[in-house]
Amino acid sequence: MPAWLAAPPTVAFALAAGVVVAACLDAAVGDVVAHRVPRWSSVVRPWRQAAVVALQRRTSSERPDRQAWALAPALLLGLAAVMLTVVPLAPGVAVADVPHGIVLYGAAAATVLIPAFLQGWSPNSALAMIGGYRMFAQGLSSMIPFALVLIAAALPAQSLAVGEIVASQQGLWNVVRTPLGLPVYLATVPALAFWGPLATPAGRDLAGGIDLEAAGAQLLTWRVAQAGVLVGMSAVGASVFLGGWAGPLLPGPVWVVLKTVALLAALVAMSHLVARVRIERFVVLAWVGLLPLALLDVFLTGWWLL
Amino acid sequence: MEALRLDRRLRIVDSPRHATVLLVAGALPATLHRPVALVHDALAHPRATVWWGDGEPDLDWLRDCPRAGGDGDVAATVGAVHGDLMLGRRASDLPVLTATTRTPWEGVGPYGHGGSGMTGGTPHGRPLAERADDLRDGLALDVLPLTVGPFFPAFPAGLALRVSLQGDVITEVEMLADPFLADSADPPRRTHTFDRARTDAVGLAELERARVSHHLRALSRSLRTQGLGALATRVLGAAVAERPPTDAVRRLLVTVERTGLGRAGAGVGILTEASVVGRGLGLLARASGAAQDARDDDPAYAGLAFQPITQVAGDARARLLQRIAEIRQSLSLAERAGDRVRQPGPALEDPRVGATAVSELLGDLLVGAEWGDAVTTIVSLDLAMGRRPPAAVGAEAA
Repeated sequence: MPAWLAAPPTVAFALAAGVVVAACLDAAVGDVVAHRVPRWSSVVRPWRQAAVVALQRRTSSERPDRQAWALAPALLLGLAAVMLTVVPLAPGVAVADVPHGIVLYGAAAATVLIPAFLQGWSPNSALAMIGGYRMFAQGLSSMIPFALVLIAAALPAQSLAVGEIVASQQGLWNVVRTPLGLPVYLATVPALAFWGPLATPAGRDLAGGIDLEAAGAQLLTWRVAQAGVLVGMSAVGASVFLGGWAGPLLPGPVWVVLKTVALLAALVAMSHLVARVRIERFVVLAWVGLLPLALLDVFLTGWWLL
Repeated sequence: MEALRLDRRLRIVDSPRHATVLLVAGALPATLHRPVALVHDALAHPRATVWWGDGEPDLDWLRDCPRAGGDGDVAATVGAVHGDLMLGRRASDLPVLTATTRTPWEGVGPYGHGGSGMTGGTPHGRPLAERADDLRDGLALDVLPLTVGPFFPAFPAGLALRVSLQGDVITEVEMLADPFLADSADPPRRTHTFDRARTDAVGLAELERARVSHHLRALSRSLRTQGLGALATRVLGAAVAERPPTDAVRRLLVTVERTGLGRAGAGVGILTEASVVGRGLGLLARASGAAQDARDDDPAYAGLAFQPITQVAGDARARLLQRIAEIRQSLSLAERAGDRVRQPGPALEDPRVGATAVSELLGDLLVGAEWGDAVTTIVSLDLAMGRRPPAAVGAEAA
């Protein structure tokens, strides 16, 4: 089969599998934190909930922007797919093994705030709109440190290709070589994926915010796409900071999957154990704390390379 | 009602758009009839309503709904209705309101040009967007008038605020009347431990355990608002348990403290000591530094080395820390109380604070706050709807 024909089903499968794993992890960690006996229903619950949402008919608010509202989940799902395309499973094996893979990924991650804002803005509803504002505030503040730690990770490889970045870590993973990278990355991913302590755009204080007015297939696609973004960011994080396919005994692709699931589990645990951060506090933290740390990460990596 | 969150057969959602079944519990005051109809119509199809209560519902459109008796298994009823709905064995509810009753034309004259201003009045109850002076950085934005409640998920049911927002900053706030207060002319039910303690002798250990339970429920609501639903469920489980093991509750409090829950309330919703003294606000006053606690003068507590705990800051974080500290204090008191009995008579330290008692303070608390901080503040106040302000409670007792 030609590569261009094999790519879409491969990405779709990876995305679907990742989203299912994320949903099951979320249900299981939720049960553990709530001190409930985990049951089989924990694994079945996400499917049931998805089925219920899929059976619901779409609702409409008063004078929504229908086109933008329909576009938002599709765009987010597309961005999640783009993120997964750059993840290499083995040397030279990636859907899009492009020379500027990390830039492509950074652009997709930064663009997430467009669909998230549209999801809040389109329904013409006050609290959803505030959710959209919040997405811009936290997205713009976290984007630069997010991009800087990716650049610092690319420096030792002297290449922007994700495959090269992974190959350059075969002796020493970036999590050790650029020690500030992964912490800053894990602090900015929740902001860009509006997840866990930074799920403020969809916060309970807004009765669901950007999700407030959505229902039916639109909501289901949106939730799947959000989980997909989380999976994409975990997979790239595993490649860029945790050495990707490197690891003993097991074949390379298995290591990529294991490391991705580990990062995903950390993000899921964060959402159940870390309280929401005030949006104003986060914006200040991002500009005053994360940005200098990310710059320091770049300078230290450069100095180490000299 | 809150205990339904512990039932694994149900999933309680924050937005009516995400629900399949609307559960209406008990009789509703007349002022809530329209809001409940609006919530009903916001549910996505297929949808159904279950009425939970004894006797006959007071709304026409609720009469033909499936019902769960006051003491029946409401989760099973809701589950059955949900199942029928999903399998297409039950038709979806029709809307209660029509297009014209939902948003009546409130302009003046046939085209709204008869009054003063551009459109004459406020068409559909919504004024035209106008800019106003900004409180924060001089960027004047459109003012958005908004009524939040009475069924806003983060607020106690019945609390409704009329707010004006610029961006997400509150410029004006007004608390609408407490809907449960007007209708609660009948004597309060004596099932709550603190209601019984006003007239009857109650075991001190039982009273302190009831206080722990009350504060754990409030803590659970704070956790849920800050996005920690699973932990909130665990705290709620400890609150409704008959006699939760003291050590387990103490460990749970440590877990809660580790989430950084207080961060969201640091510097938010500050009540000064001067504004709270003498209002009978109990825990809220102590969190602002006023060492007022009726237990201090209660002979039942003599010899237990009771000392009121206080905080300094008076913000939402201080109220949270105060609540956690008082849970620990009450656990310790309950352990040491033995079979002591508290006699009615002396002033009772009731943990429940009536919403109207703080309504005058709300303006100062919320104006200038971002919406998220305003919600954190209101949740931290733990307002009990349907309760009279302390002065009126005193008059009742006299």
